[in-house]
Amino acid sequence: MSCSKCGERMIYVYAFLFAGLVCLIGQLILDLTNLKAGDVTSLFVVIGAFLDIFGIYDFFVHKFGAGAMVVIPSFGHLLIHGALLEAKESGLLGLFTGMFSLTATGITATIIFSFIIAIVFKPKN
Amino acid sequence: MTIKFDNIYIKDKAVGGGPFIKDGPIKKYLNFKYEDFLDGENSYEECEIKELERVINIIRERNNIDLVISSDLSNQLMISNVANRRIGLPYLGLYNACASFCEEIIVASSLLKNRNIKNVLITTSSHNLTSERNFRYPTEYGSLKKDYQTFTVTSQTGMLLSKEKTNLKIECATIGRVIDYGIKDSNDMGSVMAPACAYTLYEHLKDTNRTIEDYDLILTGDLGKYGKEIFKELVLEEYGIKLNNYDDTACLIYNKEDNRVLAGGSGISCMPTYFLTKVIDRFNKKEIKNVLLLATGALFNTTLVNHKMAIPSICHAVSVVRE
Amino acid sequence: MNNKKYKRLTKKYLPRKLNIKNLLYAFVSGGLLGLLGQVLIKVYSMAPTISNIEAGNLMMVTLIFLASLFTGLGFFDNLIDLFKAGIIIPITGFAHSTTSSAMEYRKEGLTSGIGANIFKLSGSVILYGIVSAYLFGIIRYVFFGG
Repeated sequence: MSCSKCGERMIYVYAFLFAGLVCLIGQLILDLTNLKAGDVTSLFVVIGAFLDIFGIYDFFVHKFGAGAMVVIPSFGHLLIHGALLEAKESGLLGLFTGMFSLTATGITATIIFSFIIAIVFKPKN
Repeated sequence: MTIKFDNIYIKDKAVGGGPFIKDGPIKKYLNFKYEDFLDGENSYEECEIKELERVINIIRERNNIDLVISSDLSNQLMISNVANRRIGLPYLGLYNACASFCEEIIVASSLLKNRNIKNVLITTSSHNLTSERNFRYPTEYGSLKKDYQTFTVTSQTGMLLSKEKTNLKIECATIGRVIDYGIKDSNDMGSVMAPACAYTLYEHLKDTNRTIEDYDLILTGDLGKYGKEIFKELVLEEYGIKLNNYDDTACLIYNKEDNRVLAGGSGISCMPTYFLTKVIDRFNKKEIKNVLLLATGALFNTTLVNHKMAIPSICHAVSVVRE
Repeated sequence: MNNKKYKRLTKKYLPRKLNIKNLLYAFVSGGLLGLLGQVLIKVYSMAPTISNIEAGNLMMVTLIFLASLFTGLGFFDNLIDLFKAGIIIPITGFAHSTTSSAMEYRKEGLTSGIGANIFKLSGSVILYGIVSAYLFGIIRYVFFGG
């Protein structure tokens, strides 16, 4: 097996490990503190944005692929990343203009699907 | 504050049970059952209103009713108000969370002293999903419940009190005070309510000059699996009362093996559902001579919880004897 | 008995908080979602017109769609009871909280029901994501030049 193939295969393992680890940390926080699910996800989003001050999350996405993209800190990363990309072009105002540029897909999809599902389905429990 | 009653008797009763209750230990005593949380209605609230109406009508068919006193867990008593609109009798709504059942008995028994009031119907209603929606989260939301949370009972009860002599007498009652020991976790109802329960039990025994041994059965409302143990130790450590013949209706109302119900039942209907079925049966079989009901309520709403205030609670005690 | 002493008493009886089973389930299900995401990216990027970035976006849309759909079908909350953080921490949790709020308040109308409540649970993620991205963005722009 050539090394490039190893690398290609390995990303699946890394994706599994990274996403699993982030969720594990989330579960630990939920179990050990009185924080609710909303608190933990908000905290993770802030951490995701924070890590991009130093470009750390970019490295995570490069190394762990979808593992880093699937979890909620990636949302914070995409927000700041988009804002900074635009700021590079147009200065500080770009932080406002570019904020939603990379997260537009996720937010729009969530809103549209949520609305359609809410119209079509009734809560059952 | 303890008050004695002269001639207040339990004349009639009816209990309807929904999911989890209709398959639980008291299923054979239910007057009617409904299979799911909607029972053919468009919303959970409409289902609850319908079932409450049903319970009231069962009693109305067999008896005259002068006054209805109702309580439920919805915002501003929506369920009781709408059900009573359809019933059309004189009506008093009251709310003391899960202590409402005993509060209703106290209010009804006191009103029955009036010559013009001969029968008072006391109703309670709770529904797992209307209270979930009201106090916590959207019902399809996977909200990660903790093991020590209780699971609101879905049932409706009606109990008719009158001055006509029967074998079950409302003997006396102790009105509780609002108490909190600093618990802020709205998922931990047992810890919230145990202090009020302990206090009222102590007051009751002191005012009536009785001991635990004077009662064949002591029942607390919905402290739950863990709240029950906390209560036992608290009442011993703080008031020196060692409990005997004691149980908690939260632990008795569901099938023990079902772990979906977490720490047990809760809700305004939890205690009356158990009392009006199993306990009355035990009375009729002459297994017990008297019972002390300690209904406990956690007096909170989402605003209080969000303000991070300690959750207050209250407990009212009612003594019922077989004559 | 003072409040502190009572808190200690309650802690004696409340169930121990750390649960290895929860951690394991969260790890495995979170990992599987990461793995599924990676597989989806690979599958989508095999189509000739789709670049890697678009494949990534498509993958997010797929996961969001599935989470919404399963919430509508009614069994997603049961899965979450089982896998807990393993489903809540990924983007599926965000989609689920938005969809379940929208479903719940549908009967209260289009504007005062769904409209007013759709972001009841997910709103804080959006709010703090934007606020922190802005603040940290300023820091990075000023100190590291963007």
